[in-house]
Amino acid sequence: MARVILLRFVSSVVLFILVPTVTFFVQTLTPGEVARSVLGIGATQEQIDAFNHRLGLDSPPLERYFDWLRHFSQGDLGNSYITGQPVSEILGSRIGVSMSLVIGALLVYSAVGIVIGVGSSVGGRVWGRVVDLVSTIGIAIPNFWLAVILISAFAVSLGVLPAIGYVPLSESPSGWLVSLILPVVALAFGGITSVAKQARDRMIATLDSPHTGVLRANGVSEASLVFKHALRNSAGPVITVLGLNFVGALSGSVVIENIFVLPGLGSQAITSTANRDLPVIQGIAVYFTVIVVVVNIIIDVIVPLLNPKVRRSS
Amino acid sequence: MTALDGSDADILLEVDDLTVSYHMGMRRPPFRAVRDITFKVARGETVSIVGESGSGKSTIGGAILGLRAIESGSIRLQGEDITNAGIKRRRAIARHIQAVFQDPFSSLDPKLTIGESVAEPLTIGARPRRDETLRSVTETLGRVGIGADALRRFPAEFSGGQRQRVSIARSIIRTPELIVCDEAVSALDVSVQAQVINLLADLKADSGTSYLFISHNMAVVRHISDRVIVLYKGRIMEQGPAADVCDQPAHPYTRSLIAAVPVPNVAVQEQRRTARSLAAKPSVVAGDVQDGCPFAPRCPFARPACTTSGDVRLVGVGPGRSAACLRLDEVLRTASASPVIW
Amino acid sequence: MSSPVVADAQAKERFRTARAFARNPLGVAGLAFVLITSGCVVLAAQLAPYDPKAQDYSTVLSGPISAHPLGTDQLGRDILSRLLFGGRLTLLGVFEAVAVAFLIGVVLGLIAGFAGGQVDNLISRTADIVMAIPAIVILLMIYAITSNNPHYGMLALGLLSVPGICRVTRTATLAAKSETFIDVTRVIGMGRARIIFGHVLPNIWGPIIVNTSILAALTLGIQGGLNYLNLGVTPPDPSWGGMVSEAQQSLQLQPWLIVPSGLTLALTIMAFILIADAMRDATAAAGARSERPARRRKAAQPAGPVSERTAGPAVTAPGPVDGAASALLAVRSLSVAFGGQRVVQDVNLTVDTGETLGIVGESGCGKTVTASAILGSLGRTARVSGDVSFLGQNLLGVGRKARAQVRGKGIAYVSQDPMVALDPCFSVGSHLGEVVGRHDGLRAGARRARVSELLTMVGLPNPDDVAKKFPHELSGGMAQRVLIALALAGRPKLLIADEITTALDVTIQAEILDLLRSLRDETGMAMILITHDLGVVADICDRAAVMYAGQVVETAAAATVFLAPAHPYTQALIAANPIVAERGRPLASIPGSVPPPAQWPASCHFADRCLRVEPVCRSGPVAMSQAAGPGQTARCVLLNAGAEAFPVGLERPAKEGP
Repeated sequence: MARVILLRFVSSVVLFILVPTVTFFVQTLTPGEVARSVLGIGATQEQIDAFNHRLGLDSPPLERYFDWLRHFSQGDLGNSYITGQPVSEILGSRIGVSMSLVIGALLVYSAVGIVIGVGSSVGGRVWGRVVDLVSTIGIAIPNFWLAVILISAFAVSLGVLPAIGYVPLSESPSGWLVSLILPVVALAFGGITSVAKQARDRMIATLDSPHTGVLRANGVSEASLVFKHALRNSAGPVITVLGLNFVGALSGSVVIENIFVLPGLGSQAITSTANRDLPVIQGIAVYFTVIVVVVNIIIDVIVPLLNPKVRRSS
Repeated sequence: MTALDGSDADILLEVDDLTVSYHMGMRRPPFRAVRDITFKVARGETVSIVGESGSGKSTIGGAILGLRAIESGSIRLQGEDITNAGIKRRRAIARHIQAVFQDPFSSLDPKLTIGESVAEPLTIGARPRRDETLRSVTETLGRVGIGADALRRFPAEFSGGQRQRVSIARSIIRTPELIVCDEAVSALDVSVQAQVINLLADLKADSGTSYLFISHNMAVVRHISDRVIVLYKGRIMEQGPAADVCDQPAHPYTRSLIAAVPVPNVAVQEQRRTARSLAAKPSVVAGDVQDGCPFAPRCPFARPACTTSGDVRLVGVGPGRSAACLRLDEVLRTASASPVIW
Repeated sequence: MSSPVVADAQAKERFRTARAFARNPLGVAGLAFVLITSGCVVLAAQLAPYDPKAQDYSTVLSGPISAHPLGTDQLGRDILSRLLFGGRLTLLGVFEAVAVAFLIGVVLGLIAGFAGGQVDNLISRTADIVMAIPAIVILLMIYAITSNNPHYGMLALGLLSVPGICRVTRTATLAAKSETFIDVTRVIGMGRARIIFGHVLPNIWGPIIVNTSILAALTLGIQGGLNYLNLGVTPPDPSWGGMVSEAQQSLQLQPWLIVPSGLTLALTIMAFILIADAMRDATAAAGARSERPARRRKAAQPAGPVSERTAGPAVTAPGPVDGAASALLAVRSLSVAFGGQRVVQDVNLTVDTGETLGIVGESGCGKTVTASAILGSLGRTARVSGDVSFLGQNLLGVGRKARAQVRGKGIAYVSQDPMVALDPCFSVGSHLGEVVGRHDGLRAGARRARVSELLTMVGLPNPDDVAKKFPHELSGGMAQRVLIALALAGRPKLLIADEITTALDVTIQAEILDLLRSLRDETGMAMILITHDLGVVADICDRAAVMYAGQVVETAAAATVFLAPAHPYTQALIAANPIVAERGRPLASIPGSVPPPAQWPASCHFADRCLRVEPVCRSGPVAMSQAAGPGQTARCVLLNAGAEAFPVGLERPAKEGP
């Protein structure tokens, strides 16, 4: 177990170095762009040179890279080219929004997915077909289209929920909740189906397994077979899928935040990309990577706890 | 069958001090599947390697067939060293050594017809003529009792016994001198198993093929072999002529192995059971053995010396026969008092 | 493959998977949709009624009208035309991404799976890392620096998708590599390339195609999102995702606009999912035909979960039970059919208190199905008739609750293959504690004491240590002892043991049989032992029932069965055993093999393989009749035509059929 976490940690370090490095070099392939997008098309060459010099953009890329790496290793993500604000400050105010959205989606697709999956596994063949059908439809509807449909239905037609915007939790807890309903549903929808499918498949596999037959024949109750044995056996694979979906939802949040105009990391990513605001993009890449790594480590810890066989083989 | 373990010039296969280890991961010590295995197979001889799961019997077959990397020791075919041969050498060796494996349902590629599977050995490194191949495949299938109508059909249409016949056809199509049969009849039902055993015997009578017969089934081994090698935890416990080893076992392990086989006769089985329970006695040696006799912790004859005086070597107990046991004298005395009833 | 036989091969068999796919209407519909859509998009210039960028301010936001079947947008552009042209970049992008992921993923997966070791380690670890990269950030940047080039972004997305395909390919390759036929190719000296292209790849296309199709679906969704953000396609160029974004701007004026583009996208994604699902089913169906029959693993399969939740198998004519009061278990005229195919016919068995009955026969003879019928663990697809009366109560007629009462307490069960018969997530103590709690209602200390007692009963030293262990920490012999303890927990009157020593080494088998014998003597319980090994019957059974092709063909005291077998099958089965044969002489084998249920005749099932067959044998159904020994019955018409004349034959059949 310790070995698994160590391995995960090592690969995380690689990931930490790799992602910002890739983003850095990809971005530096087009040096002049930053100044132009900040200063406008009409800027003179002198203005651009001065801008580049002020931000150290005229030094060689490698030098800038190691410079960045040194600051990065000290936890300093640098300042925005555009506003001059520290990156951690910009992102710090936004990460709460993104996490509200993504964790909200996690809760929704976990709860709904597991209930549907477990329910259909004991509900016979008709339920199974229904879940299959709904799953196919669920995966087929792109989240951004669903978001637009939801806005059309609940905000435009019915007018019961806000179409766009975000209310901070500190300002109004109920407003915060209401502002998140549509984005969370749009983001969670695709995840529900894969979680439900995985839960159902694992439950059915366990209920069909030799050990279930043995326990049943020797007097173990049906309730225990389903809710103790099958559920426990399914937990590991289901949690793995929850984690995969979480990573997917993180990517999806970029689109969803834009549609619902939520001031999170995702909408910042779009803005900063348009502006070539390298330090901010680097920062977002780092934040996203941290979240993915943390989620993976949590899964690595939980799954072996649920299944001792995995514990040993790892 | 004149060639017993010894100096005869007609030796087909020689295995010397063979050791094979499996790597268990980066930080774990490698697992020695077999250690210091030495034996010979003469032309036309059937040598069986018998043992329980984990004895390493299939590892020996794998090493001979080039499926397992050999850590130390050597394997010679007709005097020529074939230890860890590369693919090109393997091609040449394949003319002489073929194999039949246990699982009739995974031995044949489901995407190939029976004809293609059987013809495949002919097409390695060669482009035989179409009509020749067809004739050869048909003829070989005929020898194993499969009709020519099977040529264009797929394995899924055949029963386990029939597939095993096809596997045998594939193994004999290039008339090898040695066929390694790794649990070749173990997955078959008794009636079909008997058919396949008879088939192997017929093929041997026709063409003088040698078999290295790897099995856990003492009854089959007793029936089919000229010589038997008894393996336990990667070491040879006993080897010798089949009749001697199976009917007058010298090693305590061989004795317990044979005594455990249930016989289809109520009265005889009762006698065997009584004899077994009389002989059963907990070992004075406990725990896993690093050095010395690996069977000591289960052996009723064991003494502390069995695990403290280093490797137990094979010593002769009769013509062409040897056993690795420090307490052979006492074991043999007991053996003559209660012979094996089959 | 240069083999001449190749040319003669029946191609239809080779494309079994494709044909199974073709029989799936949803999959075919999905494939048709993708092909037709691609075709329309390629021919957009010919099919589109308007220029996709042509604005017409006279008809803005029209909704579907005859001139514009899918309506117009806020600039009066024709939606259908934009959809057709927009599909070009959309589907081309998906193709680019999927092709990159497929080509690189399959190659790397094959290398990793086939080479193994450090190479595999390196590829797999790298794949793990790439999988954790937040793809969206990379994509955003690529669009930025390539000035919104539609191709680079999708190629990058393809690269980031490589690990998924790589993993699937690797897993499938590893599975294929473990097949014996790959070992065979190496034994005959086949080169690596030929092994991979001739034997590995043809057997692993299924899962690769499934996952490639799923990847196409996911890529469409991601690409749609990017296009929605105007990344990859710059307006006024059309794209399906971008059209959703345009539609959103006039959501209040013309909500219809979100339908054509979004629905097209959703339907295309669904088509790919349907293709994947159909392909998965087709691969499974094609695989099922070539897979081994579930030999000696069948017990678990009929014990499906359905039996409990639904009404259970359909039972006909429970009927009154006569004369069964004396026996502990009386099975009368039991027949079981699956899908109209009878697999067990007219089985009659009795087990008296304390008696051990052996049901013996080769695989495919219906032994396990008979046991499952007694246990009530056949799925609902099974049609069961006759009756199974336990302590005078017909178990086939009773309700769920009464049936549950019998489980463990009346009839207990030990299965084959002990290594998979315990729940891997729970310790030995937890398993036993649960059944002890259920049967005895004990808690805490008393429960632990009973668990210890049970483990001691089955001869496990240090029961408290064993109780803490998890199933994977047990050896086969230990696991089988734990299973026996589990079965003993309810103090059953009858123990059904299905091939419980088949997976064990012979020395361990002897120990388990000794254990069963002493437990039987201690507890006085009756046992039914299902086995293919006549030696096991001789060792432990009082009586034996020999089954052949769904029928009991002989019952007798165990001693009688071996000394004076009445039925030719029993005789042949004993004679075929190498223990019985003389060394160096051919074995008395039975020609042919057990026929599948579909080929069972109404008359004697064994007639086709019987050396003593006569015309009368094929004239009609054969009933059980009295044979020479006390209590010996057999299903053979020649029985009274001189059973004594049948010695246990050692002679060999003249001609063996294949």
